[in-house]
Amino acid sequence: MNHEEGPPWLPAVLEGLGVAVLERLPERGGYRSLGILPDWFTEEFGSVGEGFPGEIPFLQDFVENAAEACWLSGTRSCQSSGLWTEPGGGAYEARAIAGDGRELLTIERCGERLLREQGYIQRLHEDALEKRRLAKEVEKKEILLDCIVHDLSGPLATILMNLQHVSRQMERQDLREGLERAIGQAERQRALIRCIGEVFALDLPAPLLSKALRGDNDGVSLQSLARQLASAHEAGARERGIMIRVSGSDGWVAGEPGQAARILENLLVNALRYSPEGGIIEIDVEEREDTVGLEVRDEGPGVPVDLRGKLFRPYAKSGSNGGQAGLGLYFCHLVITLWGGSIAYADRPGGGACFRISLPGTQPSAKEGRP
Amino acid sequence: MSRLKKKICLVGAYAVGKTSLIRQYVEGIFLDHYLTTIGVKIDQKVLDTGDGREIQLMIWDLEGRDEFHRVRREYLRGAAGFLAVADGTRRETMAQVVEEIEAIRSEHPAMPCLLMINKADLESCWEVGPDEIASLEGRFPVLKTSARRAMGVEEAFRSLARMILAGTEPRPA
Repeated sequence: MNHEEGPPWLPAVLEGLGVAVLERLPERGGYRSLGILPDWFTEEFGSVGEGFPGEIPFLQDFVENAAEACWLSGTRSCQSSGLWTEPGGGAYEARAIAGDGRELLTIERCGERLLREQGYIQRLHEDALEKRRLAKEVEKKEILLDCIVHDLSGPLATILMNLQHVSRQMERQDLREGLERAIGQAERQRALIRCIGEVFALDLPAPLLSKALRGDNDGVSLQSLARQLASAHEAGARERGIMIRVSGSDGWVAGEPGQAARILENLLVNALRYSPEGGIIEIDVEEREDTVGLEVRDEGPGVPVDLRGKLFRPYAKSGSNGGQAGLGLYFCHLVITLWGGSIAYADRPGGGACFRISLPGTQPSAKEGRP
Repeated sequence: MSRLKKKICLVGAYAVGKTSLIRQYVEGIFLDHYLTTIGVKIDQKVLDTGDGREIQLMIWDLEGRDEFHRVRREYLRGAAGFLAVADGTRRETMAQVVEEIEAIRSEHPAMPCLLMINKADLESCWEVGPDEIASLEGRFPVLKTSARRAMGVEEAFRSLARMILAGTEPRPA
């Protein structure tokens, strides 16, 4: 390399970088190398003599199009080919450089860079594909659930309508009472189906939830609700000699009354299910500084130790809970969490179960007023 | 026997199976593992046209389009034709590839192209219906392919080669 071709240290720099630097010779055709060509270049592409780069289709295409445009621009400029991979697996990047009347072509081996970029892009693609797959899975399950809820609810509506019609025409008191019990069970079944549907819907982001499931409602007194529910279940409890006691303060919380009632009913029905004959169920409401606490205590066997860790997860159930779906406590947990509260289990001192919930307190609504 | 050298490109969204289709066509193998293509990957195969001629196809496998990256259309310069690839199990890849075809055709109106709807081995899971495919068949040739099962792959490359040799794209039936 003479003085005209650059400073004397340039060949050493080019060799150190491992980049092939070629100059196009328009007047003679072909290329010449500036400095020593790296070993990888001669091994993979041969010489830069006549015909170069005819056997390298990508490079030939680059030289004839993008590089040519760069060289003819007449200004100092640089044009990259982007990464390309040869059939043998080698990855490269070429650059056309124009300036000071020279038409330069650099070729760099980029195996490591390719792997780095490939790893990064691959992760992005795989994440996007997985996200898409999960969204599809959820969509399919939601459709299936809608179908199930619809198919289960349809016949129930007809059964209820006919039972109510027969009940109105029925003169014998004992038969009418039997029908009323059947109606009660059918209505409970309908409520359960609705609950299952809503439990799944609770997985939606908060803004998509129905108003009933959000915590921005007028508020409700937990003690008042507990008294209503205790009264509704009194007859059934009495048949088994079970007493339901409600005590404590009003306990106004910022929740929708219908959903709050279902939370309490889940806890009360659970206590009734496991209470021994002659047992006592206590529902106690306590107003604290900013929260309201409620405990439902029974004298049953308590929750088995192996079930406690998953008690508020879907389908959590012990072998002895009479074929229940295991969604009641999960529903309670989801709604209470959405309302900014918490639910927990503890053993009742002296034996039995104790479910504790805590919810943000609120003032009684103007509509309701304090009782 | 005379041999022509022709450059063809494969375009389409990421993970639709472009590289797998090429590998199946050139090497006759299918690898289950997805490995994304960066930049351009070059392959070649000589095709006997059956009329005493051979075409050496220079196959340019272009990096798939994603939300961060669009196809570098300058790579289409000098191509004799292109294969557009969609994934039948991902509806959005159809819309993307049709948009890509239109964009390429606006720059290269005479360039032959063929749409491959890939992953035909999963046709029961396709999100693309027969009506939609039929509506596209009026605009360009469409083939259902499966790189995994080697279905329609050879046929697609041969069809494109025939169109290139004919100089014009045949009218859709």
